[in-house]
Amino acid sequence: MILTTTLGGFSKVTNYLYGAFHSPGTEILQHRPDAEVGHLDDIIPGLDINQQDEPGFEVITRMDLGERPAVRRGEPLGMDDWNQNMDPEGRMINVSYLRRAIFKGGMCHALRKEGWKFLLSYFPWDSTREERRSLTQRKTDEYFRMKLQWKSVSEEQEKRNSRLRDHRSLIEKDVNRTDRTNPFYEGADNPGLVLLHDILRTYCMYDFDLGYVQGMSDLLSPILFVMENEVDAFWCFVSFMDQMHQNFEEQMQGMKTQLAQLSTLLQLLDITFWNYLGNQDSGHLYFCFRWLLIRFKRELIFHDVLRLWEVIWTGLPCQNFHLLVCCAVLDSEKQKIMEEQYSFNEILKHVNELSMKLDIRVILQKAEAMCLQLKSCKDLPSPVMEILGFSNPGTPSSSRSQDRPDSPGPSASSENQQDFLDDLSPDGNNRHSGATARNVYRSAHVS
Amino acid sequence: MAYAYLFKYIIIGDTGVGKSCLLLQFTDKRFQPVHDLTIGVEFGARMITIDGKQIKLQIWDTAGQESFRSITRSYYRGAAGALLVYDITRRDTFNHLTTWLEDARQHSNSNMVIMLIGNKSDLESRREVKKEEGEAFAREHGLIFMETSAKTASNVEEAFINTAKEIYEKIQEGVFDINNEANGIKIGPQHAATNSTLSGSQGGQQAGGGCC
Repeated sequence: MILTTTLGGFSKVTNYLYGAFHSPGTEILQHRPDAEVGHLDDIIPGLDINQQDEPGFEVITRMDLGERPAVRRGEPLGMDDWNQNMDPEGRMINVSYLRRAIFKGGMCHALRKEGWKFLLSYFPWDSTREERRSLTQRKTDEYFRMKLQWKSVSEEQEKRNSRLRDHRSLIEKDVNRTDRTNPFYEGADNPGLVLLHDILRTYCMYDFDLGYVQGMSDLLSPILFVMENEVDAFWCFVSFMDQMHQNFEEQMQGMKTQLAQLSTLLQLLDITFWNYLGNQDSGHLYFCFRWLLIRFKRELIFHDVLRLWEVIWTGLPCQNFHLLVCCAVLDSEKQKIMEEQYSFNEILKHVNELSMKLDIRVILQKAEAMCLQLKSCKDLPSPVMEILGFSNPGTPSSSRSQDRPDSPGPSASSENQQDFLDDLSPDGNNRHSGATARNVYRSAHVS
Repeated sequence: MAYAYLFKYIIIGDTGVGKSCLLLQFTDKRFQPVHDLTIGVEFGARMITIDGKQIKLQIWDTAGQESFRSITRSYYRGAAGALLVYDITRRDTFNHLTTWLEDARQHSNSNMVIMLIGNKSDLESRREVKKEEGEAFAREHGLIFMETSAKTASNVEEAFINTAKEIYEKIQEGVFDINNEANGIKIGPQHAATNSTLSGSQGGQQAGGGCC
């Protein structure tokens, strides 16, 4: 019996159950016998199967996610505000305030050169000016030591090292194909290209196992643009790569994990759209590949990329916020995709063509609202809680969100994330129950 | 514009062989030496005429990076034609052809027409792969072959159009089931007059024209 077997696997989440009923090819829903409905009711509190008499018509109440709260973006954090939150020795104080401000509005461009070093953990927030000076000195020496390593490889040596040779030729090719319309990198003999090249070659020495993979030049380019300094750019890039590393590993396991996580979120947020994609052979979400691989670098105009990245680097408002950013974009496109009945090819094409047309403000607003909506929702499926780093009520907000090997992300402690959410959630931390339906999503299927 | 058929193409081959440049030369008739490297897949489309019929080519330009292949493979699905490209100035790009070919054959339909392309023919002085070698490889594996230059546009039109001709002939011979979209062929809208506007960069709302 499909129902009983499905129930075991999907526990209380009616959405999932609905998904199972509505699996590809099962468009026609049969009227369920009363006994079965009773059984379902016992197992799934809050599940409401509408036993109407219209043949082939059935309403299943989905899991109530509650209202999506309205959120507002803020203004970029300015230089004055930053400086006011620094003690006389140069330690940053009120770090959680700063993080929040950056999450809400990003930072003004003038501040990025300094601010990004903290956001990317190159500089510890509690370091003094003096400590940073000696750190920079140490890191400069370390950088040039590694740089010398590839610089001093002779032609003869390189002939016998195919890996080194391949990385060199790929990097040489790719720096000539990275942001060349950006004034910072345009024109032949642009010094920016030499820096891009040298940093990427040095990174191969820093991380022999990974070396260079396409896409990494896209991640470095904005950092170098902001830092305007080879050594600082290198170490900030190293930190960013710590988060993005898995995307570039062989077999793309990091990418596949993220696509699966994205699918889990999408399934909860909109089962109809999730089913639609599945029916179009697009359930693997490969059309989001570029978004995830290089964090929307090719989807947004250059300055919006800087904004998105600094917002994500705050680690707020939850773990894997970038996946909610993906959900926010898809949320804005799903109607068109379904109305126009786009197929596999057309979905991919449509999504590809969103490039440079996305409004960063709208996306961030929606993604944050989605986070708050989910956070205030009781009985979230545990995979979703895991992905977003929400802790179960009753269990201490442990280190589950921190530095998990399978979910690289900036480290804002989960306490920070919790504070943030308590502050901003309309209900505070009082999650509303799925049963006290404020906004009941109903779905009808007519066979 | 209305079309009688839409053919889906893929362009595959090692990174840096000029796949994106070939596409741009074919769709926009220009050579752009500086462009961003391809991540994932990009699109181009152009209308051509064969046997008095308008045929729309929907071309998917894929990333060459080896490690992306487990995902870019999914884009091969439902392609009627493939341009398999190597760079005549880089021997290793020629050496990798067998892997690309196996990959393409394995992940697409068996009738897919494959055109082997030796690109950068304008760089004669740096040539590492003889034309005869390309011809021999093509003969051995049942491919059509051409040397092209995306820079000078030499043979670019021919490469795309000859592939389309071959597909068209296969349709005439009944080899392709044109009602099965998995073959990478779509029949155009029957009544062109009402719904014929090509969807432009804004993304057209017109129904029936199919997505370009």
